[in-house]
Amino acid sequence: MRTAPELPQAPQDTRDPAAFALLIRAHARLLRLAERLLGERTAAEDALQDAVLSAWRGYDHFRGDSQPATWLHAIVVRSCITHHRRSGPTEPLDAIEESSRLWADAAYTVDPADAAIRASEVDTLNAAIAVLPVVYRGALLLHDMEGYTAAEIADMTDVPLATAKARIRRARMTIVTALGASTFPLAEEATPC
Amino acid sequence: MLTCREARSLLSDYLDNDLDADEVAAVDAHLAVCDSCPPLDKATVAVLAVLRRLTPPTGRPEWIDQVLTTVAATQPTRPPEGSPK
Repeated sequence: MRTAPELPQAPQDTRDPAAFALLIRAHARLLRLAERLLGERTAAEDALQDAVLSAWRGYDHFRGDSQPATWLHAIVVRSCITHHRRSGPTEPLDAIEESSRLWADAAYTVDPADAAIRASEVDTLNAAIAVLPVVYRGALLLHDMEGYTAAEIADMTDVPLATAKARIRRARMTIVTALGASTFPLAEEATPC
Repeated sequence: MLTCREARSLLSDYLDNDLDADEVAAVDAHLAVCDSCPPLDKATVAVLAVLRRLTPPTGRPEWIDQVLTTVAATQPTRPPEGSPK
């Protein structure tokens, strides 16, 4: 397990605008996280703008109880989830439920070499991530791309630890199922981001 | 001995080193004799390795200028320094 990236310490003056700008500039990678969560650049930029505004408004209340990066990631993820929910109907859990059904079958398996090859193709990996409902996508990316622990993700997303762990587990099962399928991705599923 | 379903339910925590010693031993024992679970374990490890290697972008910092400009507009008496003039 990687640890979360090393980040600047919380500034003493939490309403210091220069320190705030520095903090935001140190996290340019949040755009990629938002893009992967929302699937496209424009929505990611909108969500980030709302997140940074929200962070600035709450900056005087930030007392450094968590790492600045953890605090900022939590705001960005919540903003992305809010934007995603505003943008359309409730997401179906079909892929999650299908992978759970398959993994419950003792005979079900995949070819790990095939799954690894598909995962190494960026568009195919993105398509597999895009299959996930946004809260599962967020848990997976925060844990397995950004290096946050399940406990940190539970705090960030205001869910019990067991829920955060279940989301990580089921998201992993689902992308492995997708990448392990010889028919994946279907042409219309490939959504580069 | 764990069933496949039980072993698979522990696999995520197993990969995160988040099981106690007895649970690890139980998963190890299952993987040693099962035909279908080890490929799922290996595939998960391989996919997660790719995810962890995804390189964060180094470019496109202009989004930061854009949002700091917006933040500055909401705080006319005290805009964040470093915002584009």
